Amino acid sequence: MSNALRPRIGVNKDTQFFWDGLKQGKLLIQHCQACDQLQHPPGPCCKHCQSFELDAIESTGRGTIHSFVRMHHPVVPPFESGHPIVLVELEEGTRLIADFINSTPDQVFIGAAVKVAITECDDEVTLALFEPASA
Amino acid sequence: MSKITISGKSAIVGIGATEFSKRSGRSEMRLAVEAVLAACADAGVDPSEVDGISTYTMDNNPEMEVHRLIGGKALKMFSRIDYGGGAACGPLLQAAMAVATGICECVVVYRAMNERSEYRFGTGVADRGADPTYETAAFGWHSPHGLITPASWVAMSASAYLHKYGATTEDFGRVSVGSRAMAAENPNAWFYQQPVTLEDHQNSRWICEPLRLLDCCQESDGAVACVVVSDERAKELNHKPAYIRGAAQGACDDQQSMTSYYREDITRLTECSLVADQLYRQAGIGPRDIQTAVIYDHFTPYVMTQLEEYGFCQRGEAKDFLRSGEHLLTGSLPINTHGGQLGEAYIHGMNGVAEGVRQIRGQSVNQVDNVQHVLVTAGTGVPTSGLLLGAEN
Repeated sequence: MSNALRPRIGVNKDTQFFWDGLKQGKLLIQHCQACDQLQHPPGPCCKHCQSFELDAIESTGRGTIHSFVRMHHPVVPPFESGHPIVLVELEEGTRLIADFINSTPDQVFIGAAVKVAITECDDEVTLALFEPASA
Repeated sequence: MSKITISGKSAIVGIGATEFSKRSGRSEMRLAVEAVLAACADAGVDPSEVDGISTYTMDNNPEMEVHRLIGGKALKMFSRIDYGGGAACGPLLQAAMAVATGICECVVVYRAMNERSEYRFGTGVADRGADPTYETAAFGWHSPHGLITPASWVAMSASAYLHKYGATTEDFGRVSVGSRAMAAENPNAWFYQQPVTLEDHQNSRWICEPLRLLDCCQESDGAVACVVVSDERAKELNHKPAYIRGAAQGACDDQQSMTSYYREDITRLTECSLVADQLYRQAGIGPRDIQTAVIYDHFTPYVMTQLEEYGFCQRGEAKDFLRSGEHLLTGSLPINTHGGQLGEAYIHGMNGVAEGVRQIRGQSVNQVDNVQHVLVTAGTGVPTSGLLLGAEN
């Protein structure tokens, strides 16, 4: 891997809890106290019932690949050509995009079981990367 | 209940464009002015009559400056439409509403850019700074993981589409081959006289699997402008009017900008269905009444999705539509007869609007017979828009 830094995360008052959670080793999902629904990406209110009474639950970090790509061009360090990026559907039902690590090509397919690998990429950026469930 | 409609109350009466290139060698403002003046001349209206302007938020040329430079006297409406190429038909909706309501008499829309020579969209968004805006936070869900380009954002949905419907990347290739065949006949197209084969498509390099180079539109320098006036005025001008029978925008279903990965079915472009429903209702017609269409083609997979969402085939059956060649000049719905953005140029969809007008006039290099209605669509994956042009109002 190159020493180049990844693109920066975007943190604001609606999303701070998510990034703080990762720094504590937790993958959080925004939860509505009024209607009990989950949502990701998070926002200032619940998209289902418009309540502002929100907190978060900790995800198990387990899920499946809902879709995936292999990024070839342009090559932007630290990413390597052909690296897989997945859309994970968590057990809890929400989805997120993740760089897929520690995998062989035959482990990247729709429906594959995956698990989170919370990774401190640099001083500022800790990400929920994912890897094969068997890794 | 009174029925308020814009359908048939205005028409595109002038189209103008610069050459399409990879390096215009001129300022974007000059491109904008050249295209607007050409469109006014084409229509036969004096540029000083222009009293309304609408363009894209991504256009770098302020309406007031374009208006000042063309000798405008009084600008009564200026507006901008967001979401990249999703805007494309939005300025025409603004124009149609302004003319139909009497706010304006002569509205110009334009898109002018040195996208290839001065700032390439395809390089992605990796170097965005950290700030607390909505947009930066939204990019932050994807770009730190390496999903940084428009091609990659589309590829994620395309991958799920292939899996769900058993389509193949050769089906994407059929879109590409079709557009390049059209462009090969168009002297204004960048890829004039340069058709490609399905084999060329399959041999082109990966950009972001499952998308190859020939699934991606060009990057271009150039400008296109259109002039819109009332249906009454249109009858007095130079050309057969292209009546605006429908114009609509759409965003829905957990909409995100290029990354609607959180909606129930990520293989759909639900916002296109929303636009389609409005267009057909406004015009009182259906997809069977359309003889040719300009289907926004920044990336080939979403051409397939649009064929379904706009009602030209059933969901998941775009592959069959393409395999039987229905999209070619000899098929039931020739699409992108100018060569599309894959073949002619990437002017953020405004060149597609101009081709829609040429098909109504009977002036396309790949003219379709007996054109009564043309559908023009806009950028997909983003909040989008559409336009339905008619030979009669």
